[in-house]
Amino acid sequence: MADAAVLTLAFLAAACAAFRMERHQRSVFERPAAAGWRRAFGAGAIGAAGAACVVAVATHGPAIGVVQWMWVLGLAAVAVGLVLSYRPRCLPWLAALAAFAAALTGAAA
Amino acid sequence: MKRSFRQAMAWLHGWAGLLGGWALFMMFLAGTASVFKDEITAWMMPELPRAADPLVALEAAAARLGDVAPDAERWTITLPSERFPGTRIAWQPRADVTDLGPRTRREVLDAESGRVVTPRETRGGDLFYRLHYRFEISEPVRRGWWLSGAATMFMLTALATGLVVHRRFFRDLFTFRPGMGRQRSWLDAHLLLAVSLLPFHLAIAYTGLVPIMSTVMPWAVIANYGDERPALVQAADMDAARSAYSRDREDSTIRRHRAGRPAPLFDLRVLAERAGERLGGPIGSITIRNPNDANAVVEIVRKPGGELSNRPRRLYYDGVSGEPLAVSADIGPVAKVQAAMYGMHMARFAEPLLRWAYFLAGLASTVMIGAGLVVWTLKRRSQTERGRLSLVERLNVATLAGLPFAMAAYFWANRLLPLDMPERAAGEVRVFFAAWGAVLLYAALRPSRRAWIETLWLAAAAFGALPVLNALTTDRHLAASIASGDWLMAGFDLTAAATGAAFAFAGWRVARAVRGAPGPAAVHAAPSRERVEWPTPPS
Amino acid sequence: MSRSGAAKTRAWGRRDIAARAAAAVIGGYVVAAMATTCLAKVLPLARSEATAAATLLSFLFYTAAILWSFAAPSAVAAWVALVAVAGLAGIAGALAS
Repeated sequence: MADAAVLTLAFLAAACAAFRMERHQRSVFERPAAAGWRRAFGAGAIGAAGAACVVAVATHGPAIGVVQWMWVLGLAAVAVGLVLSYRPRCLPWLAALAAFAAALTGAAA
Repeated sequence: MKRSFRQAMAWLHGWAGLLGGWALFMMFLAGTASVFKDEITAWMMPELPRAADPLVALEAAAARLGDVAPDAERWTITLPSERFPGTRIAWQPRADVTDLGPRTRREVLDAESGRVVTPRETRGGDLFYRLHYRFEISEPVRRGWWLSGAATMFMLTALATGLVVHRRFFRDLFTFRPGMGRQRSWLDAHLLLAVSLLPFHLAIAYTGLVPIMSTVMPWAVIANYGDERPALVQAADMDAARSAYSRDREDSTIRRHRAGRPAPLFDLRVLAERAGERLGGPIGSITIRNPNDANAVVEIVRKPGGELSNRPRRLYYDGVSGEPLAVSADIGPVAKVQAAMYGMHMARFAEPLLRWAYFLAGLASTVMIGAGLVVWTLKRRSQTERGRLSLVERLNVATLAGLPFAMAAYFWANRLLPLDMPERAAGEVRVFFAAWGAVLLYAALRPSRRAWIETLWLAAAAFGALPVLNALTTDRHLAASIASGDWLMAGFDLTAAATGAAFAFAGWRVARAVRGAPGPAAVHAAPSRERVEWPTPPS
Repeated sequence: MSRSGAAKTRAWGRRDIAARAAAAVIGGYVVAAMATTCLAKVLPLARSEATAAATLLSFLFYTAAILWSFAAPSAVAAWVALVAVAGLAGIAGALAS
């Protein structure tokens, strides 16, 4: 469960980081987002990435936890990159799904 | 005469990446496969029974060793795990009782009954492992280490120069435009994979040097442990310096000389149960020195996990009385960092999710290198250097598509070569290299675009049909594996099928691109970016 | 690829490239070896610890020397700096022992 929380939080973090960038806002929402949204996405990215790190470290200890967190975060960024390339409109839904799953699995862990 | 720093670094990136690229592609692909080395070996030995309770396996293994090698120098028992279902035993005969010298003997046992299993002769995942770190060179092994060290320096150079050239990488993160023309798309793929997993690429490349560093960079050992001879002379013969160095590092292994008085071995199962509590995790392997002697020592090693270090925690017991033996296991902080770097590279500790993360990240590195090689050719296609371009393109086909095909051919050979064939394991390896050589020859003769498409399809078919081949040649087909919860076999079959699908997709995309059909409309128009011109090579 | 890119490259002739590549591969290795030897002797750690630390760091020096060989304003400058660093490290190491 903790591992699933790390995965979903990492995906959420990568998706938020993409939403924060103007180029990707255009492809996903058709127009640039307001400054408030940009800040919210930035905070969401940092918060989700930090939460993923906390869960990974709490589950596997500092050494293995950080290794797991870095690799999973990198893979999540690749996944978000692929979604943005082929199905950009799906990304908000996938991000919402990831947030929901992260909440469930995080609570279970 | 002057060029800007970034232009110089871009030039170096292109050439270091090209010259090191093929070797690095092989190292990364073989290393990625080695993440599942044990699992691959298990798939290639379908005669192995299912895993059993490790403690039962331990008793059965000890009984077998007591029968076959009661007075060996050393026994090693590797317990079955979810990664490899059989019990692996090894023993080293005493040097003074055999003419063959202290050569290690190995057997695989049915974990439950202790019966010796003779699976088909195969090198299994070990072939990829040896390819990965020493290019399958064994005579002398040092030559392989030097080659992989040199390739790693190309990787570090390419990574460092790539960082300098592509300095704005956070802005371009997530950008991959498959429909924007081939060079652009391949470059996007290269960058997406490079930037997203930059910590992985850097860490894996640098830590890969740790296992071989005292061979390729012996000068610190010579400076601190050598003798009066010139350093270059010592480098050719530094066994003495190296063993003085390892003696000086805290070596926690307890060694006792054989007493020569027979004494019964303490119940290993009881020791294993005691040790399991103190180690804080399952037991991976047990080594018994001087079994059945008054000076017997039992070393119980935790299954890798719970820490990065490549040297899992272990406990020692007197083999006769069963009393714990004290060990001062303190090693210095630098030695700890070194062990953690080593362990981080080897990933033996990785539990399923993290093991898959290593595998996928390794694939990402491999594809990044491959995409870089393709970008090199696409950039130069419009130019006039036909001869060199054609050579690079053919080597690209043989490596990027040919090497994976050769891996699939190796798996096919495992299932199709006759079981009683002499030198069967070597025969499988010959099939691997023959398949690779055949693709190289084919790529040399065919127009390169046709060779690309056809080899990709070949790899797709070879991987995609592996589950079918497995079903036809063994009784452990995918449906049976899934039904019985045998995720070792099922995992391999599914991964092979997914690999086949990925190659089919690649073949389809390349075929479409060659036909010149327009790709899907660019999903988002990206503003053109100013970019450093990647200088052309001198002619 | 623009013509200007190609034209600029002409500035690096074959001999220049060969000299820089030799500086990177050979000179860089010598710099790394000398720096490692020096560090192994001067690091204020236990002998085995200093040995391990110096060897672990050696590949950073090698990578830096490779980059310098191609970033230097000329091949001669690349060689001069590498020889100077290797010489200084060698002298420091010899004095320390």
